Amino acid sequence: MGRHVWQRIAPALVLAALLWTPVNAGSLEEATDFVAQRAERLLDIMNRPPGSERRDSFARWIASTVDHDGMANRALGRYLEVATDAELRAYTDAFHNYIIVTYERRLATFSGYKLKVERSRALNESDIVVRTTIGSPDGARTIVDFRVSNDNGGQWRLTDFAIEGLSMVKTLRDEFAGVIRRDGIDGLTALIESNVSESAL
Amino acid sequence: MTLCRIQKMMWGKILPQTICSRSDAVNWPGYRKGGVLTASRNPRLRLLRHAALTYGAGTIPELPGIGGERDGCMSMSRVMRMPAVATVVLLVVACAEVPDDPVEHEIFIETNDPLEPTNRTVFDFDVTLLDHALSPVALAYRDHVPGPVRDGVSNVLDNLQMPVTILNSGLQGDFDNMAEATSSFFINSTAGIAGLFDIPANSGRKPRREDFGQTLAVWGMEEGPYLVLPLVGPSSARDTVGLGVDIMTDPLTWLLTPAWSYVRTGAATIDSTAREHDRIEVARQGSIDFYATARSLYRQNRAREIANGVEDPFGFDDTFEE
Repeated sequence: MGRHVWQRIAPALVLAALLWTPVNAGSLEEATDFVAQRAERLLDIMNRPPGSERRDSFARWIASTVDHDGMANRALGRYLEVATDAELRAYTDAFHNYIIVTYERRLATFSGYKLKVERSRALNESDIVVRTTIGSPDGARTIVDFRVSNDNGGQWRLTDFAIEGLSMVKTLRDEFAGVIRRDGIDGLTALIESNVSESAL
Repeated sequence: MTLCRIQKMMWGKILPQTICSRSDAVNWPGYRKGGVLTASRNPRLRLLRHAALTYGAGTIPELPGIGGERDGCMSMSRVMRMPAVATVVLLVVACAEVPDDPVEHEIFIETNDPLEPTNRTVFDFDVTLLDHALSPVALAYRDHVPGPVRDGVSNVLDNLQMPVTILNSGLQGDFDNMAEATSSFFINSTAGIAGLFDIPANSGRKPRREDFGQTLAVWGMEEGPYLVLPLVGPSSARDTVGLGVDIMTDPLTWLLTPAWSYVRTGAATIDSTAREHDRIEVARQGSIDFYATARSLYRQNRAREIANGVEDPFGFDDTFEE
């Protein structure tokens, strides 16, 4: 490669280096600590008996840990492009209640499990995946990957998780797409609200 | 658009365009309302009709004393009829409408479930069967049979599947897993008393389970449309072909008598239902659309199996975020 080529691409390389802020070792450590602490807290909540006290604790855990608006948007997938502001607001509110009610019950199956943080890696410039294993009382181990990113305020937030490779957001997106196609985003919101009402009984 | 096109996603280029909803069927040569296959001038359709009528109608004679299945399931004549029966089923099924809207169209292609109406019907049948027949038996088995006995049954069934894993590991060029599976098979079949004890697993060595659907994926074959098979559950065109090949290449297909094949199938079904029951119920709890949930979980799990567990579970977001 001739010298003139380097002269042409050097400024672009310098600019790219300045603009690109890679996830550094400090961020990995912070993200890992965040996941370890919040996951331990979650398992602690799930060890409690079912009832309104556990649900309230889980709702507080969601509020302090999960980027639920971002998660709601990503669960819409390509339908996010066509959603109106009013549709999005109603859907996001319903989604928030849905993950509290549904995942409180689903995650309760991990009552009595013990957490072990395995390793962490950068998924892209802003997101980190922390791999953990949780062990059941009878010794079976389940791999749980937590995807976290740093929000604008410098706070780490959980944006997705995958149990044995099955992503929560991907599953919801696939599930919601068929309902939206049939009944629209408002139809999905109505279905989520009715589901939450039934589940909360 | 009311035509149901299944391009590329179906059987390679054999059927470049299939029109299969009943409303469309009226205008389709070789098809009449009600889904009955009739004579056609189209040579492809004539060939399919011939195959369906010849093999699907059971003209292949029973081979006495030869039966069996992959997890134990069917006699030879049934095995050989499967592709033809599947063809007939695919010709009479109802399909989803292809949307015109660009966003909807893109999602339709991504979802890759052109036979959704039929798949949903079969799915409902499978779930009903699960709820009213399989789960009660599996739960009784789980509640009344001691854990060590159930572990022994699971180990025997896993060991019986090992020849399929050995073959497919080799076909995929994964010789480490092939050696691991071969070693496990011989150790467990002898020292493990016909597979009752999984000795290598006690020291943390357990080969990955491989099948011909995974082999086809490793060889580069596309997944094809999503399918729900009666009694089997979620699958895809590629995995359905793989299932047929697994049955044919499983030595027990050729060695077991029909009675033992049914025993093996029954045991495998009850064992897997007992093991998976709680996970299925968790997935069903609060689900907005359980059919779509099952489809998504099947695909994600399959992608992970094909990638031998190293699939990035969050890779799906890349295209969306760009």
